[in-house]
Amino acid sequence: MSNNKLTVIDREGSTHRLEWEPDQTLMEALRDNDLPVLASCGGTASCATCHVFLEREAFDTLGERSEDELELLVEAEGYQACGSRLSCQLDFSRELNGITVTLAPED
Amino acid sequence: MSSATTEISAAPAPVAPFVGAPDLPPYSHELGWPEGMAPFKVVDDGTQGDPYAHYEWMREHAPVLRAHSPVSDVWFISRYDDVRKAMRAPKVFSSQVVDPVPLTFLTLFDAPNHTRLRQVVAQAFIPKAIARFEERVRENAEKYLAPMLAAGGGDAVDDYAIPLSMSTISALLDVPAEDFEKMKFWSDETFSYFGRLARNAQGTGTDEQSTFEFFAYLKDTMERLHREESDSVGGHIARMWKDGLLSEKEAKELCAFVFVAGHDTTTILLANAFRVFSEQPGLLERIRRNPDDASLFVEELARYRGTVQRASRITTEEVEVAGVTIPAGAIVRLLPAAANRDSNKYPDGERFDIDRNTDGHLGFGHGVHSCLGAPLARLEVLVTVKLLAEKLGSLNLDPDKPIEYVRGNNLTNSGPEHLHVLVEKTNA
Repeated sequence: MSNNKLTVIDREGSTHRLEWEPDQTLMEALRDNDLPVLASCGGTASCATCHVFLEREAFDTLGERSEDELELLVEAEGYQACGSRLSCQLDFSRELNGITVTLAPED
Repeated sequence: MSSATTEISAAPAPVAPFVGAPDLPPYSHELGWPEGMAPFKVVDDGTQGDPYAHYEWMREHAPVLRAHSPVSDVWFISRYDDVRKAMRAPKVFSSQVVDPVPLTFLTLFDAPNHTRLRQVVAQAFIPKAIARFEERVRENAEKYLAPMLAAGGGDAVDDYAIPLSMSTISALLDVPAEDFEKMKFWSDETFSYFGRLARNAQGTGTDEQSTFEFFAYLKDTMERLHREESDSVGGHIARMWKDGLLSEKEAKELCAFVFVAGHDTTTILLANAFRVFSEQPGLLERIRRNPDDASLFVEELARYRGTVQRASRITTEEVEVAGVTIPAGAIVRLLPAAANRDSNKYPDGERFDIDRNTDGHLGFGHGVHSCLGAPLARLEVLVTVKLLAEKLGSLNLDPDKPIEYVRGNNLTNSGPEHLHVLVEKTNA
């Protein structure tokens, strides 16, 4: 399976284009490409340091957020009801090819 | 155990420390502990090296246990759901128990300083970065096991776990640790100093002086790493210091933190791997035949005998846990190793079973303070488990040398300080 293309807007507003490999979560794709995503908990949906904003169209293609994920997001800086996700909870999917992801501010 | 247990309701009535105290639970020493079991204390006096019997009783009878200390009450939380929930709520269960923070140890900070400082070293510990060390870890593991094999046994801590964990973290930081004994002494003293400043532990009497010697050594090392433009973690911290993004104090202490945290916790986990093999000898053969099962062993080990016993927090507001109201400003110790054996989460939780589902275990923490070095610890234990299975036909505890436990001077970790084993090679 080929990689997804990803556009990332960092906290300074700079744009990065990177490849998202099929065996990575979105968090791993961001972190392994040296973007400042702390992902303190390592991907267990237990902190909110991989918080990102998705565009509405991409957000709507995804399923419901788990109770664990939502609990952390609503307390996170800049929470958006229809845009915030923990990137560690997003597995690779062809439907997400070409999306733009914005890094949320840090707490 | 239940026949010897007295229910809390039968314990002496608590004495409120001040008028109007709202329904404070009795102190640990006022509870009816089972015969032969000392009340759980804030400072380990030697009864908590292997604290699982205490934990079992606490989960059942006092899931929020209040213990007295000369400085303040300390509240211990032991059930899985409660520990997990607290670890997910850093704004209520703050890690900044001492203010101002006396040492640049990540465990002592909340956001935003925790985020800023952790970011300095985080990239070095992601799985992709750690994978580069796998071959070196394997070579070192074989090197340290070989003399034990030849001698028919040894101390799994001194002869294997310390050299392996220390040589690994030294390579990562590029801090030479040729003299393991000296580095171990400095590391223990620094941990003791930390415990004294941050956890009201007793200290050793020499820990401050030793810690400053260690910091001076690290400063000299970082000066060299900066000159050499080292791409190690130590070199990276040195550059952050020289570029003005970290103070000298922060750079030295962060380097010390990575060193101490990187070897002490892993040393105990490695020793516990030997112990579990001795308790379940069939696993040597099973993993020899199916090396892929080694990763199941590692996760179950982290659940069943993880290193970190007490995670310190301070409450920022009044909070109810398991029906007990903990006041604002209370010192709390979360007990992840107790939580990990909660049978409500892991059926028959006191049993080591590599076939169980270990998802969600707290052996490397949970939440924003999850173990930074977890990928490295997992790698070292995985390599060890595979190596022991490959090389050993049998592994037994030495009946003449009982396990000696780390005293809880730093109030964080428990496990073997010395674990003498007898080993036989495989027939192959």
